[in-house]
Amino acid sequence: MIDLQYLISLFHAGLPIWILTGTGLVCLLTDGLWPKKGGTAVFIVGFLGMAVALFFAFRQWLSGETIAQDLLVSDKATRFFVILVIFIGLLHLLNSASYFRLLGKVSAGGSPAGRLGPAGRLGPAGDMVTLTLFAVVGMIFLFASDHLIVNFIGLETMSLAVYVMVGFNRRDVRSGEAAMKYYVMGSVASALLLYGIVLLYGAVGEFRLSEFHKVAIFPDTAFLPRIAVVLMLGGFFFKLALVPFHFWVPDVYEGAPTPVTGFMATGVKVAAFALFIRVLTALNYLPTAVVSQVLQICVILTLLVGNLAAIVQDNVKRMLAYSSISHAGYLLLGLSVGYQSGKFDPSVSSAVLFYLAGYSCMTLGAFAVLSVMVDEKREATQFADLTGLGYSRPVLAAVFSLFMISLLGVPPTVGFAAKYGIFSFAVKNGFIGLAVLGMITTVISAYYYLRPLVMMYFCGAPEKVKGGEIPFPLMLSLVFCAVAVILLGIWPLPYIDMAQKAATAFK
Amino acid sequence: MITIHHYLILSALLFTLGLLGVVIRKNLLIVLMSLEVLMNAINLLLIAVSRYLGRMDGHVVAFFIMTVAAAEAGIGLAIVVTLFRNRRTIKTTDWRIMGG
Amino acid sequence: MINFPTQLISLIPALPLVGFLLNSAIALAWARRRKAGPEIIPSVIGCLFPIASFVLAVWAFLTLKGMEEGASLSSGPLLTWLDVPLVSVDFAFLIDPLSSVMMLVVTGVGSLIHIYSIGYMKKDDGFARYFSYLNLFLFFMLLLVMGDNLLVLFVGWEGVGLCSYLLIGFWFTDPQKAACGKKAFVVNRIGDFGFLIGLFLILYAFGLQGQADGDPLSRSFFSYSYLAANKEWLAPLATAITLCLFVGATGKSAQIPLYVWLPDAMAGPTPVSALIHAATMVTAGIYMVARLGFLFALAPFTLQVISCIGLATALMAALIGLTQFDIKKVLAYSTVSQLGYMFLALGVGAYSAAIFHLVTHAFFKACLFLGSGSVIHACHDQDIRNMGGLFKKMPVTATTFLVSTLAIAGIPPLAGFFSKDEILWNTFLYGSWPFYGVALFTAGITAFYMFRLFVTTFLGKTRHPHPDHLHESPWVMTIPLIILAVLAAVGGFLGVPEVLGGHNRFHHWLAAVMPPSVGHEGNPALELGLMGLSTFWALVISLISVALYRRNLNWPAVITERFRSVYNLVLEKFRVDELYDALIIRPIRVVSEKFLWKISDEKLFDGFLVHGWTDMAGFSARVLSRIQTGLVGHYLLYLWVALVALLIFTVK
Repeated sequence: MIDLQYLISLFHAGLPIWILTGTGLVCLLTDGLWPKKGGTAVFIVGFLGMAVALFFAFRQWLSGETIAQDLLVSDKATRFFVILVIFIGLLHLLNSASYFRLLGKVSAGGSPAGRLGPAGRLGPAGDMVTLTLFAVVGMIFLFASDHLIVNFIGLETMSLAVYVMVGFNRRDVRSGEAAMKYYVMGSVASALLLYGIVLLYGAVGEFRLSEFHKVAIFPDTAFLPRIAVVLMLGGFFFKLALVPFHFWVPDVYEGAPTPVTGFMATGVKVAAFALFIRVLTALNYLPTAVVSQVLQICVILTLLVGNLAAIVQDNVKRMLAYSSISHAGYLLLGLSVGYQSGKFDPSVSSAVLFYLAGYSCMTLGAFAVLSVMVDEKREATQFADLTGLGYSRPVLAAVFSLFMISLLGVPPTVGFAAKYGIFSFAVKNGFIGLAVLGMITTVISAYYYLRPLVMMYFCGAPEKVKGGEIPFPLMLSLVFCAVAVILLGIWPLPYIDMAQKAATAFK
Repeated sequence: MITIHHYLILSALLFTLGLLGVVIRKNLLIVLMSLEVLMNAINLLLIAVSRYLGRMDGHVVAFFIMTVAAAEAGIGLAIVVTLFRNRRTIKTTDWRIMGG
Repeated sequence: MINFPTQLISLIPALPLVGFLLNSAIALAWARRRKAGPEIIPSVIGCLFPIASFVLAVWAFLTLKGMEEGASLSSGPLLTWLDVPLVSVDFAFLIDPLSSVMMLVVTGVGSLIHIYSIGYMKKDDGFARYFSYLNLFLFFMLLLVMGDNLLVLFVGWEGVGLCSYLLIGFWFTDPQKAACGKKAFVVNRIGDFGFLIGLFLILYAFGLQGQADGDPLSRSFFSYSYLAANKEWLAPLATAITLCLFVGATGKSAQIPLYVWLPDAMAGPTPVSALIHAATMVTAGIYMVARLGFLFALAPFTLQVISCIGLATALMAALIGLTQFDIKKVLAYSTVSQLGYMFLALGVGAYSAAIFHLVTHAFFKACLFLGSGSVIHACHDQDIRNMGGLFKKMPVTATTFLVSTLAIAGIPPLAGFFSKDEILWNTFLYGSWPFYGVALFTAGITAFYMFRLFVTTFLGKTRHPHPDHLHESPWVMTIPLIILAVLAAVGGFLGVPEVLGGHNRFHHWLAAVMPPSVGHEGNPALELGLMGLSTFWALVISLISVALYRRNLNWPAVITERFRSVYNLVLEKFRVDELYDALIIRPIRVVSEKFLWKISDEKLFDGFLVHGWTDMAGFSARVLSRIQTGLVGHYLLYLWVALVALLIFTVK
């Protein structure tokens, strides 16, 4: 028998999800009905749908009460992440809208034998909008439940959409190669995670994280849950792009269409971190003291490898890929300092949450700038392509510099405020070594973050002026990111407050 | 007497086999098949564990996983087709434009 | 009258900010088109917003006047700027008697100078840019005087420094003028460093008291009310704190030893000199000391230092002013000298006298600068040796200039007489005899060089090469001059001392926020006597000066010849710039070049630390990129190996 009350509360708990899913279906339909001209219509529908979902997510955030309805959990933390993820989705829509148009225009005007090929259908891409919507739905399911299988299905929904997005430039061999690599490795990682989940189910008899505290305490030598946890960690580390599970990152980030790279570097990471914090909190009830050591080793490796390897890159996108690896390292540092005598204290995650928000703004902004960097029939994202950008396109160069400085962590940008939060927790909880390592690697990172600035301003004028207006949607996202980066930098209090409120939901 | 341990070991073996296949084989189609083996190993484990615990939710979840695996395979095949159209090869060793 | 709603307080500084945004948008648009548009748009925008601010400030002032003594208008915390475990800072504005006076001066004189600028900057390429900077300056200056805590003040403090830099180097295509801007910026930075250390010391002092924890209200260390209420906690460090803050004040308000930037700041457009480098920004140091009077009162040693420095600056700058030939340089040194007077007043504890002089000085010095601007506008020259006889050509400018000259010379009943005499009387009362003597002597020199300036510029025969080209300035420039001259004439009646039958309203207005002067009551007869003495002294010196320069007597030349070496020393501004160059700049250069660069930087840091480490980093990076083969099979293998390693590590 269907309980109406139950349906209504389910409807309320997941309102943004239902809106996003519905919009996704409408987009799919629109694109199918007008395959030739549907791109712009789909874009508008998708954008509006997301905006409406964002509105309701904000209302949920303000209303405050926690709804735990069967498989859906709608608490402060979930709502924080829902808002963040939808923001990322919206910015991604703005970034990608003009990117494919630019690339299409360039390839239409350039030589027909260009790398993108003569028949590359690269106009306003309706499919991209639909895929974004479904990816965002997947991301929300990924953390908006305490049932591991629902989480897993969300993960797969997101991943499948992103696999396709990575390979979206069908005629570009790099895009295809990136999709193949991401797909094969991503599937293996998903399988690892799932294997871990099932083993844990076998050991604990529960899929639900919220039930873990009811299970009997295992002896510390229990074999099965340990293996299960390690397998799950492997799956997580892969999605979070942490060393030594990071090998796919540079190649995939380089090959994927630029806006998609930005989406992966932010959305996927944010969603995975959200679930990761939930899982770490639940694992407190299992004998898994070893997790904290694993995390610390991983932090050290990630910070070193991410920052060192970024130095020798020639491609800005690839450099940013390593940069995103190292930022995942800082984020994990923020979590790993939450361990006090083997138990994870989720209150440290407030700094991580703030970091995620700030990191998303600056990374999306940086990739938005790169999305404009399209030269005849190819993405012009080599360091050499930046030469003299400060003179030929001053606005673009200025905001890119801003994002680089923020990624480096210089005040008054959000990068500084975020890193400060993480490091101060590290010092407070007695992880001086990790904090020092974080600072040293930050200094190393100055080398590769400042290199674009040198290229743009101090290497003479460009050989030929690559002019062109910045398309309106992209301008919108650039302005939003730049304002956010500065605003969160000089006046972070309200957002830190939000993050703290959200972090209290992790128990 | 066949116990839960037998199933555990069998599934672990299957999983390892799948991983080996993914690592060693160069033909993308075979890699895809190995990925399916991974999924099936998991499903086997899931059914066994669920039966051992005497609970139904594991059985239901198995269906979900099968669906997910099917969707994944669909995407995988689409990627294979795209790759083949571009360069007429689906050997993984031929696809190393990026690296370093 | 409707009371001023406190919600509107933030509008007063916000309006110039809006003006800045609009004007900079226009300036950018013009720069992009490479063609200036009609000047009417930026001038209307640039003037309207400051005037609106001024109207609001007057309204707020009248409201405050109607309230009981000691009351103030506060915006309340507009937003919590910082709330960290150590300290909490709100962004909030406060209008009390002191800040309302400053607001009126800043917006009132500021508006007049904005209007004047329309005429002065006509046909300049950077017209819109000029107005945007000027509006931005007003915004920061209002932030400085209206902030209810030291951090907001500091934001304004740095902001006005930035605007000063931008406006001194406004004609940046001339490298010399750009260098002047740089000099002002660097010298101010030194002062700001002291200011910052002062702020840190305040924090430290509260930290010592164990006040670092607790609810946000009890951690708003920088707000004036908190500082005033808990000043006894600062007492142990008061001398150090106030000395550091005073270092900041010497930078901003051009006192020894950091005054050297102000004469060079004359490279900017003349209205800028009037607004920033005479009437408002340079008085920020005085405002700050007066605002923290309760804190300075705890440090008698600092007060002594302040009065000594103020007096020395007043004397030295006045002496230099005697010898200069550049009309703006004379006024610049005069400004330094008058600021010295104000610090002298602060040093002897006469805070309200200092602020009174600040206000009257703003009137007559702005008028003088604008008058000199009018002259420069006509002559296209700044050397007074090439002027003369301008009275007939420019009657309005000359008359207003004369009024202001009389005011600054201290001739009754003009504004300067009342304010300067109050400082002299307070120096006598709370300072010492020698201080009084020197201050009186300096007042004479002031009268002398001002009349020298006036006579050489406006009287006598025209020495200008093209006398026919000379003309009076347009009405947008003369009307502000007239208004300022009227203010310079009657402004003194705000504070007529009791001995002359007045009520010294200005003093009473500020009394609520100022610490009372300590010491003995003065003798009315003595006060009247000294007043007569200083008036007589100023009159005599003025007459001597007029006589000397009007009749072209050769006394100055004879005296100059007689004391050639002394005269040269003064003419070359006591060679302070050269002294700084030899004592500070050159040693720093030598050390930086020979040691820091060649040895420390190249050998130690570059050679060993940088390249050694980067070589290592580069090597490991290359190894890492070698591992990254691009083969998906390899990557999967790594994944496998990592997983197995993890498993072994965990299960062992």
